[in-house]
Amino acid sequence: MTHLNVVAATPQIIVAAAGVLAMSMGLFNRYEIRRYGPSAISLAGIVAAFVMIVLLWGDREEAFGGGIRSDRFSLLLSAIFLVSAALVIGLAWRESAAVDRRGEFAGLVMVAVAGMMLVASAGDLIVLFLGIETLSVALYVLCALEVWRERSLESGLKYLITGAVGSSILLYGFALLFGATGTVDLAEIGEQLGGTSFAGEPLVIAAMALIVVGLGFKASAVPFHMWTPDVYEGAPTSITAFMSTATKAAALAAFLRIFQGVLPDLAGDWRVAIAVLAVASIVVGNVAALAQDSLKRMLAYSSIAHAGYLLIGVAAGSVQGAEAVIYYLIVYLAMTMTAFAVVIIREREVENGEMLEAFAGYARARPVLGVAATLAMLSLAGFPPLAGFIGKFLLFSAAVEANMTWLAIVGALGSVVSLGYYLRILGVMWLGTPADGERPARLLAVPAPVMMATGTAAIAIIGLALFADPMIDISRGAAEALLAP
Amino acid sequence: MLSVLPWIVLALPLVACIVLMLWPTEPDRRITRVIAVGSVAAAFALVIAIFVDLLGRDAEERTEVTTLWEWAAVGDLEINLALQVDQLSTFMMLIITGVGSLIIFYSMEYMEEDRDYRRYFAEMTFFVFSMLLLVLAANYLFLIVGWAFVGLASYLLIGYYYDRPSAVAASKKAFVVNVIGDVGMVLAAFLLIRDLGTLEYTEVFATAEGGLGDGSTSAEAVGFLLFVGAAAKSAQIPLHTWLPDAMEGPTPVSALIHAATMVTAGVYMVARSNALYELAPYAAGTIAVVGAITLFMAATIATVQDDIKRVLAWSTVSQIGYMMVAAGLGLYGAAMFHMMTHAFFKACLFLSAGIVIHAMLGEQSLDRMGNLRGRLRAAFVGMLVGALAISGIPPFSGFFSKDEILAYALAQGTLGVIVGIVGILGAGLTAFYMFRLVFRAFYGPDPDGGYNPEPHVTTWVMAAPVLILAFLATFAGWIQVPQGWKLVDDWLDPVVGTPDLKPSLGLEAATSLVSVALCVVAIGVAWWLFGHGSERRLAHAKTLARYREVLHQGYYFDWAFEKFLIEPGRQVGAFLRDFMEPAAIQGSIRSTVVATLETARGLSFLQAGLVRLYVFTMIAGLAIVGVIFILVGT
Repeated sequence: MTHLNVVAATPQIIVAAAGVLAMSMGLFNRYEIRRYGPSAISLAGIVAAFVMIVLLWGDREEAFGGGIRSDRFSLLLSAIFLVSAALVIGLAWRESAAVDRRGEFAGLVMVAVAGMMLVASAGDLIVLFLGIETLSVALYVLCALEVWRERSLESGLKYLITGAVGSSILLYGFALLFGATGTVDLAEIGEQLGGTSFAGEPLVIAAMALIVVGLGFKASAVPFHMWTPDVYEGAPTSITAFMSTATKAAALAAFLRIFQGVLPDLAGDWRVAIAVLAVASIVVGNVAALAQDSLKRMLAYSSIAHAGYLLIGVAAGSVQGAEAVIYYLIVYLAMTMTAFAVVIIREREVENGEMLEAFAGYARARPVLGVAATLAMLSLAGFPPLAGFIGKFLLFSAAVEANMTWLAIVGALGSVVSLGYYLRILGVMWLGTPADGERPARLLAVPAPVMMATGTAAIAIIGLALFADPMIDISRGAAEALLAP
Repeated sequence: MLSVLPWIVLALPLVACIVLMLWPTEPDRRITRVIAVGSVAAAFALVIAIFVDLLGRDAEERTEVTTLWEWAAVGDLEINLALQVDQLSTFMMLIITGVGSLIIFYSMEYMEEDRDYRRYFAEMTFFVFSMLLLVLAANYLFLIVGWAFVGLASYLLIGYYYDRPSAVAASKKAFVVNVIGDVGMVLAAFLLIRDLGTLEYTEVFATAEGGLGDGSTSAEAVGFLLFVGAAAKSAQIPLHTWLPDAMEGPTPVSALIHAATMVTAGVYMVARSNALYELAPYAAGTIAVVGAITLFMAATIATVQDDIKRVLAWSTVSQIGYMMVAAGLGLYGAAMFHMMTHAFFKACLFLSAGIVIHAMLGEQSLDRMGNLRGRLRAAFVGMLVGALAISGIPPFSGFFSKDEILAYALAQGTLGVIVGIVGILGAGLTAFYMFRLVFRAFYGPDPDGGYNPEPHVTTWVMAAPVLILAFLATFAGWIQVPQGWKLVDDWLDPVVGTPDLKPSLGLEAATSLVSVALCVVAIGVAWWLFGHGSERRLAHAKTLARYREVLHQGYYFDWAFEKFLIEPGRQVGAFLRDFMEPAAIQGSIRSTVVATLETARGLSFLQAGLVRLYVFTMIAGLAIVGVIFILVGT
């Protein structure tokens, strides 16, 4: 408890420092520095943090008197955030938000990642909340970064206001938990609540309810999802991609850290509420997505549905469930990034590039992108044997083994419904005819960083399916670290 | 040798598909042909080598599982990428690659006039690969993977003419129905994992009796869920409506995927899972009953179809019904035997129909045909042989396989007698609708207005496969003769077993006599109605109009799905869009108006009302979550 052990916190420190440095690059006069500096520094920070993660990989270490934990769980989740940030910086290469405000863009993404890493590695409630606020504040600004676009501003403000409500509910929950146990340290809370004496305690019950709601908001689970489509649609698309992958992973990390890691003995109390949120998210997300004509909105609802699938794994309340959630988060990162990448590329070419009709015949004109999009959509729908299928298979079978077969059935049926809109996209892309003429209008060359990010994500969808075994092993190690004493 | 050969068989069509897809430009058509036909034919040759190798072994040593790599290990559950060569999978591979190479050979000429020559053959070889994976898989997971892949191939090929909206709609429908089936199979796999902890065939079948229990709820649930998959893939009621629509694809596709191989995968899967169905008598009984209902209803619908391919499609639904009846009653050998003869005669029928359609430049309506027998000899021979075989007229192959199912069914207790009688009635209907097709297309006078242009003569590339299949449809039945030798049953016995109750000589003779007599009468009626032009036919169509309408609507299955499933679903979606997210519609309008009128007020464009609604929902959600916690806690 007494010594700092800063080494265990180096990934977080590196990322935060890189963020600050990147932001200050925007102040330089030289064009080259302003243009390449922020991205270069951010990417260097990401690589350095990644190296530190590999070096730290192993049993738990604590920094700052237990405030920050570095274990397999936090390190693996941090790696997910870092990869997501790297891909987003690549994808945003020519996006107006990122070009005009390159320093802020890359810097804030790094700050958000630092917040997420704090969430995943939090050893007490204070750090956890600090992390959530850090990432939220950075994202409020990122959403509104295209200040000249009304929808972008609106998106940032909506997120800010609803986010404030979500955060305060979460903070209430933490406060009650502190009141019930007299400590903020996660390990000590776990010890105190480990027995049965607190199981029926109203204070603990209320705390759990508030925390479920607060985190459910961040994960955009129904009924706390209302902001999601508006904010996702209004924000710059690369930020939408970042939010739907990294932010969701951070929220799920917090879910697992608190419920699976600290309160496993109370699973009987919390699993039903989480299962209900999961079912609601799957139903509402998938059905509402059917009616969308904007790809961004469709993917927003798809991300709501995926929050539902992921919560199934949390509700299972077992190591298997946690393992499935972690594996699926990795897979989800790859496939969602690919899907958004296609939107980003098209948006740069035509006005209203996020609308479905802009994609008529697009895959025929750009077969490589078409194949990538097809992989992503089929994987999102859980088509065997792609990575999304394996992930869903693990999630649902964890539910079956936890005697929640009905959850697995809802999930499986939800996947069938989801085919309706994923296939619709693919149908338009491959088989549709553009409104004017044979070929889709205006095909521009894709910048190399965008192409690389897209390719990496798309190849990962196949790689995660072919070499599922090592990835599942790593996820299992992370899941077990949650419960390690 | 057996550890390597199946992998090569599997790899050949896959490599062909990849090469064709990655070829930088549209390759020369000769190259495409050599790659596509060559790969599948080579696979066929290797399958024969496997078959010969197995023949040389003792019956008990013909099962060989080889693992390529350990794909995923979750706790105790290990899933391997492994292939299982045994009598059943070899039997299937022979049909798939044998009939497959004939049909792909035929396609060279049939698709000559179409664009995207390369895409067609790439998708066909992909299908062959997927189908081989389906039958070779050594566990349920890779069965599901193959299952999904053939669905994907079918989707791609049904929608081959992607500028035809009807083709796109049909392909979507097929895909969605098939995915419903996939979900059933996946859920069954979850139950197997939960109760047995494994998905490998050998382990599942060895531990099923102890792990699931004889007649237990889990065993029945697994049986039913697997059958959901089988019913979707094999077009059994009520999941059958996609197959007739699937005729939007090119005719060779219909012959290979939607007649000979893919649609019979459900029967293969039930036969493969025979150890599970022995523990689930109700699920097995359901299969027999559904099969019987399907065979009868589909046969009646086939009697009123005017599109030559749709007659054959409904006939396929009906014939798979026979196989399902057999599989549900535990007559797996008979089911597989009928699958084989059906593959021959139905492929023969489809390819003959393809010659007609090709010769008439895409015309498929029976109303525009007549008196073709002198013009298209190869098609006529193929169609006639196919019709005789499917009707069960001795000595053609269908006689042996169908009568084995019927005679054995009648010996299997009350349920067997009921479905057996339905099957005999269905046989009469089969003869009627098939000869209706033959007489309307090939006999009688020329159609109104004559032929314009005159149907062109077939080349040997299309005629040869038809004649080979006609030969097989004629003689293949002789490998299994009632009260005589039973080569198929004996070959498959170690995998699927043989039924305990066998029909007596008298029963078998009586069944044959009755069904053949019924068929002859049905052919006579068909000749009387359709043999001499359209007058008699139209007169009777008028008096029967009301019944014909029910059949034309396919007993209103499509209508009911549309009304009770799809339309309500759309309404829920519209409701969610209109009420749950006012921003989508209101927001855009309001923000434009507000932006122009009230810019001075700064942030008022935020649509404060909406945000209040969002926050209100969150608080309401919090209340709900709180109530759940209290309910669970107390």
